[in-house]
Amino acid sequence: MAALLADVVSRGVPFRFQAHGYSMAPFVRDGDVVTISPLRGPARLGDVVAYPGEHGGLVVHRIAARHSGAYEIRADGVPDVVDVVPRAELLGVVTRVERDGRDVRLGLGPERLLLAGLLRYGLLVPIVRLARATRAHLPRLRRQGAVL
Amino acid sequence: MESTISREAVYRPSDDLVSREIDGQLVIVPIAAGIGDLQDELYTLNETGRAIWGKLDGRRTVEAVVGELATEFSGASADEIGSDVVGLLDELLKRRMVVTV
Repeated sequence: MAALLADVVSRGVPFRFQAHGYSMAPFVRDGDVVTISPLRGPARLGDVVAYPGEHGGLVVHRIAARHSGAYEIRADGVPDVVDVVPRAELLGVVTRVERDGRDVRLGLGPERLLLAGLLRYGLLVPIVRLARATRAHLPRLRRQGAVL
Repeated sequence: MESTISREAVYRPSDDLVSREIDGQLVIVPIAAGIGDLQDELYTLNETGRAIWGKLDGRRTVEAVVGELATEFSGASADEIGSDVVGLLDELLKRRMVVTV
């Protein structure tokens, strides 16, 4: 798959495919359709990028930090997974995520800088869990309010 | 519908596609629309299709392709192979995945 992506983006066109895996949840979920576009310049902090994985596979994770000539790349949902990838090995950047026929923008816009920082210092997963727990309680609170 | 393929014609893959062998399958991704879309437009060729595709090199006529395949696949008649080659070329031309030379 990585070789196919490399062939397509080397022709200057984006590559659209269905992602599988849970390492980038909640921002990219298993089954989301992802578009990867050629890099037009240096990748930016917080960008979700694609690079070759083991056995010709494709990895799509987020840039958490930049080092001289390389990027520290982590998985949103599994922050202990860290790759240091030279700039030349990046195949492209995620420019679109589609879920159930709708575009998902969260995680690709300016907030990606905040996400990169949280990811680098191990805070992203706890904050996402807290957000989920809070959301799960909200409907119950509203219903109690309506009863009163 | 009758095929318009001439046995003297020469075909080659279009420049507007990318192909790769992945896990023993030939995967073809058209990029003419400005995107390589595996989600909505991805093609794979079976063994017969791959054998035919591999001979569409811009030098061999359709007749020569059929003749070579008939030699390589002695279990099938030249008529059967000819029919497979023309049938595949019809599909590939319809999708603009091959061009005449």
